[in-house]
Amino acid sequence: MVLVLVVGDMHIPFRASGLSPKFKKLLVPGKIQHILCTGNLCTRESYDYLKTLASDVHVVRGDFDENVNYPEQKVVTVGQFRIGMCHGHQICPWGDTESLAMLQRQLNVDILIFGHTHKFEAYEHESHFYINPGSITGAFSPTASEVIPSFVLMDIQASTVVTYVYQLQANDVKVERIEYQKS
Amino acid sequence: MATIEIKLNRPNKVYHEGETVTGAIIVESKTSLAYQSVSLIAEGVAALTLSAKSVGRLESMYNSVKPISLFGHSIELARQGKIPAGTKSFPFEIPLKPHGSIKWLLETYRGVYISVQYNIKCLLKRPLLNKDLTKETEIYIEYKSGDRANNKPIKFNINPNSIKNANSQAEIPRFSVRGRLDSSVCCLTKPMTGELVVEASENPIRSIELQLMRVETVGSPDGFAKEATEIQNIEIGCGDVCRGLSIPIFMIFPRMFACPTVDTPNFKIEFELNIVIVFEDDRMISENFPIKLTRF
Amino acid sequence: VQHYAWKPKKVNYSLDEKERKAKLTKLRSNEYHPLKPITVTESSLVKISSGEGHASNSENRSTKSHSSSGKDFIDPLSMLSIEDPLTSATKVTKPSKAVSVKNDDEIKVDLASSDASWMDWKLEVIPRHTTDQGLANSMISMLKSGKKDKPGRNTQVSSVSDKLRDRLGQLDEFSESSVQEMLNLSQQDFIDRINSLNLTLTDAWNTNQKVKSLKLTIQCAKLLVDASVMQFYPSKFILVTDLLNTFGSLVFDRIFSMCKGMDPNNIIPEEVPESAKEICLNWILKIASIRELLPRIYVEASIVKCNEFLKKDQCKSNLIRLNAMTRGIGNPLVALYARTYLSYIGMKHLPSCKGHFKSCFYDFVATYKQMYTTPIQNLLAHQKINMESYLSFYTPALQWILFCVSHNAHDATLTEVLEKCNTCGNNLVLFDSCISSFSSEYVAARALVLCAAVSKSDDKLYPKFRVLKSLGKKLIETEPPSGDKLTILNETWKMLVKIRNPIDYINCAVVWVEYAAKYFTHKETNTVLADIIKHMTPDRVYEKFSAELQTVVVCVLTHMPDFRSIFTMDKFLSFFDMFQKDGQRVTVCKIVAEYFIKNQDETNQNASDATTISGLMYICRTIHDSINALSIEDDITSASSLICGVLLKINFGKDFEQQLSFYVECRASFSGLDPVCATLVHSVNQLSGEVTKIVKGKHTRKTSAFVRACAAYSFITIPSLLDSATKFGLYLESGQIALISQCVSQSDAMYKAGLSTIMDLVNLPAKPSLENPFLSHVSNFLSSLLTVPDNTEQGVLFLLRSFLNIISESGSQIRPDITCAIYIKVLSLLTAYSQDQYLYHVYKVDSNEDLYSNDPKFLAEISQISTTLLNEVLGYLGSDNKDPKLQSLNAFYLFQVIIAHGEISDEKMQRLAVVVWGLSQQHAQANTKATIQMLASLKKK
Repeated sequence: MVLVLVVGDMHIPFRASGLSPKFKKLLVPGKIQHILCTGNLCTRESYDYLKTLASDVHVVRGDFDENVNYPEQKVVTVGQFRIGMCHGHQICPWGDTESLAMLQRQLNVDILIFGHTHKFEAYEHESHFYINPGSITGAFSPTASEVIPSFVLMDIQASTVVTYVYQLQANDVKVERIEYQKS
Repeated sequence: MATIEIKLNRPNKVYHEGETVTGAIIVESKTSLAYQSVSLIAEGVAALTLSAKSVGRLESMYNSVKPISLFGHSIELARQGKIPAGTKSFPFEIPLKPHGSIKWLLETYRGVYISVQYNIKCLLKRPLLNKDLTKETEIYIEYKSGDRANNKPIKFNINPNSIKNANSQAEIPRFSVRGRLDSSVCCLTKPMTGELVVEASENPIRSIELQLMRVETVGSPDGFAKEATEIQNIEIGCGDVCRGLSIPIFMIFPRMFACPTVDTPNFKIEFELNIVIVFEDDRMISENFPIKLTRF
Repeated sequence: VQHYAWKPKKVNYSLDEKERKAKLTKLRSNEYHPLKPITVTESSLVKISSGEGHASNSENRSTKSHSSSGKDFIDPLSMLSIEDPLTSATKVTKPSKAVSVKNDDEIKVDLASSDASWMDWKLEVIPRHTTDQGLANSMISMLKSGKKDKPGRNTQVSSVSDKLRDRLGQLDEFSESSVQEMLNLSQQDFIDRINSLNLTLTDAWNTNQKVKSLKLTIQCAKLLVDASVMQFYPSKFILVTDLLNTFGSLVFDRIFSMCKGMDPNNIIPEEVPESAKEICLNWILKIASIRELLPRIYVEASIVKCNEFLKKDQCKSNLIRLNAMTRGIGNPLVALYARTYLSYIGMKHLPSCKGHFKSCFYDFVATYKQMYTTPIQNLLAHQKINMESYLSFYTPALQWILFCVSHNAHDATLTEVLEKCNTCGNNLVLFDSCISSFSSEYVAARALVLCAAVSKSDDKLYPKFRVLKSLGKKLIETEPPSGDKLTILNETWKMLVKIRNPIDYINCAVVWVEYAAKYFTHKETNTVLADIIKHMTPDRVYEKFSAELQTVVVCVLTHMPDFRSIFTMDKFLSFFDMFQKDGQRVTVCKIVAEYFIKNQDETNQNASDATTISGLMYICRTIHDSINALSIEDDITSASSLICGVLLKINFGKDFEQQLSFYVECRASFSGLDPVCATLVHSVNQLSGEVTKIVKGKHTRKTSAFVRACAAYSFITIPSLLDSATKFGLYLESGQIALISQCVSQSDAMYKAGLSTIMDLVNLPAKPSLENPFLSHVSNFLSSLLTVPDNTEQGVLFLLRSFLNIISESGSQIRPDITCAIYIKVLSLLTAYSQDQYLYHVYKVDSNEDLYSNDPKFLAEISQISTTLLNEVLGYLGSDNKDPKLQSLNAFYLFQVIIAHGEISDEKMQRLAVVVWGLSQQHAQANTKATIQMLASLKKK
């Protein structure tokens, strides 16, 4: 089994000063094997922080990333799964299921990870899986000043992904899970 | 090939008069080995030599330079036999008793003109045309009892006035050294101890040394040769030592080269200690202390 | 080409969302999830696995048993943690072994610690006593002098050991013949020699040439007799004693190997075999007969532990005797180092026996007066060494011996030692060594007394400042009693003030500034800083000591609890006047900025008081002003990031007005740095968002004025930026946040301004095989437009129309395939516009679906635009002389959009799809995998 952390849209330090201590407590080094980041880390420090959690970190570029060398899209293979990543500001309209499906087909992936809306989502569409981890810092989004901080952890075992979403609601970490089976 | 070995039961090979040396002769051979006899000879000899310079004077007393036999013992351990291939041991026992006129066994000693040695020699005689096998080993004799060292310290003061054989007092730089030897009758197995304080010295000092001397006398009451030689020299101070600070005198007597003081009609072994002070300008001052060495 | 109309598909987004949410399972607090801190569930696992009994296999078994019974979630992380109780359980089953292992470890640790401190000591000594000629230099001089001096020497030296003996001989000659040559021997050179000697020694030992190895050792020890090159003596000592240690352990190990089953730390002489004793005695007697005193002491010391084979506690008595023997060494320096070695040996083998350390020291004190004797004084005069530096060769050795004395010692012992020091003359060097070596707790408790003693002492031979420096260092480690703290500072400073030489003064002051900063308030520190300024200003001596002065700043930064008190000190910023050289002041300012950022990060605090801020602004301005047209990129980046870092840490909490006016001030001060301006815009946007969040979208008159002011700030600031992509991004962000803050007209203005810069992005460098950056910006912009309500005065979809106008009027500036792709994107957007409920909204802002609520006119407008665009696209796709690959890619893209967003049930749309499919396949260039996937998903429908 492999644990894959999915995070993004940190916007540190411009829109948030850092992660909630409650999240930091959960994210301890040594547990997680891979990190997929949907972008908008903004500065090098956030990347370095992710590096402390796991050595394998993949990032795609968000609209406010200082590092222009991150790719716009990326495909990572974990176990039996091909996972596509894209920040999502390039999708028109943002977060639109059908538009995302087009990208999923283009990348030919089982799971598509995207962000930008700062709104957590995890769903199956036409037997493919879509995950938006939301913003881990709860930074304001293009459409809202109030955002629930969230991130996602995928537990990949053979052809199954159990996805856990961690949300910070009223200063409490709420966890939900959803399972996706590759057909 | 066969080898022969003398194996003593005491690893340090130190024995005392009246004791019995026990051990075995070990013969090791890859093939069976025939022998005529296996025998053992133990000997103790005091060997005396003359120093080159005194040869002429002593020619008249030639016989007094003959080696003196202190102890002798011989045994036959086996007679005509055959050793099967492998190892065979012949145990032996030698009682340590002095020769007729000799009153006691002297301690082992190795000097320049005098040496006292005890050897055990074994011989495996083989039939004609075969080489005999021999082996020799030394044992060390120490006194079982004897004079005891005492604790009578000797105090000394060395200064220009105390020096007897100086040509002119004026040439000697001013200095004053005082000290103490813990005893002039010293036990061989214990270090010689004491202390020394340089109270003053006009000239810088280069070194302070302890010189252990042996004085060997060979001859009879009517004529003898006396020779003093150095056994060892131990530095106890190097450089211009601190004034007024007590410097330890410490010296271990060397094994074999020293033995309890011996006084026999034919020869004498005596010891002396010199305290030598060398100054930076190569001047040297030496103070002599006759000492008696004992085993106990 | 036939004329087609675009018919959008109707989507119910909210239904989708509801369905999706329903599929999520909420976890109760006791249920497993991978990041859960390990809790109750594991305890049952432990029971199961320990019940299996076979500890060694149970790891695997428990894994298996659980995956087979795996109804529950298996927690791999907690499984790892189970291993611990299991392994510890196996240990418990063999208690005897476990215990013995533990004891061993403890002893080793203890021994290792003495070796470790010896190592630390050595590492400290070596660099201090190195002659600074380079290796190469000395090698050359070595070679030259070797040839010159020994023309007849046979260079074909056969064996290594011969060669070494040869070198050893040379060494002796050098030290005797001339000082200069010895100085030329670099440290490395000497180390190499001794190291190879070390090898020869072990080599000789291993090839059963025991006597040869002893001889080598003695020869090496003899090197220590010569102290003519004093600068080198401490280092030489270290090298030689290393070799002695090797020899000592060779001898010991040999004898020890004959005592089977004995504990090396508890040798029972009665159980040592006679043969081993005999060998041991032989070694001891042989070494005892070494003629020369110093080599005898060293070599005897190196094997002193072997005495334990002969008689219990023999080792101890021998050490004491060797100690006494060192009195015979005339040269006090040589004697002291011999004592140092004895202390080390004592520390290593008999750490519990402490008496001899003290006598080592007392013996030294007794011989201390030796250094005034003629031979020593002559030597010093000859070598032109003054008393101060001569004494400094003593300090490492003294420090080691005193370290041994003070190791686990009672306070009474230390007091006795100090008393002793007090009684002799020229005792500053002794005080210095005591202070450096004793535990900081002890020193701190008596700091006042020490201070008084130092103040009374005569400092003709050894400078007070060194002692004060050592004292200060100790007091920084441990706090002195609170009642004494100030008196100590005052007393010390009285002495410090008198130090004439600026080097000595500043070296000492650096330490005491730290003391002041650590234990006192800004008042005292300020006074200290004032004095330093006073001392360093005459003749502009500060120019020579910028490094030290920088250290002063760092000390203050490290120890002062908060920046508020740092900036409260009026001398802190005055201090900066002493950094006058180019770049120096900037460097120090950068250090301050770094410390500030780090400090705030760690304490998670933000600065908000006026003093701190004005101080920081001074710092930032200095950094900012150091950048000019000629600055290099790296400097600009680092300056910007430091300023941004500082600004982001200044926070007035709920006082948003003040925060905004602070940003206004910043804009005025740091206009020269683009990244700073960008950060300011980000910050103001964040501020606006924060206010909106707090009022929960219900603005009062005051708050709405405030958010408008924020928008205005961004609007004014952005145009000054140079980088167009940053500009556009900020316009977009500001537009979004303005809308979130319900400043609709400001948002409109932002978007318009953004549109006016959009054409600057056309030529952004594109990376091969990636989406065109322009397209990506455009797409982001278009998506953003979905939330923006139409300005009734400017007509339906005014912004989108303006955008399309810009695109269509751009002519050849935009590649036709990009234009085509943009139009297709707009089709998607228009579809989203035509829904009853939009995919996303901005809270409390009515977007077009509410403004028009399915107004047929609005829908007709959308339909008209989309149809126009569709035909533009079809025109492009159908035309010739274009890049056929791009053409078919775009056709495929359009096909997908038709399937995704078009109303497929409509017959016309179906026909359109067929046509476009045809176009996409025309050149057979499309992404085949995506095509197959597309077809597969179509079939499912």
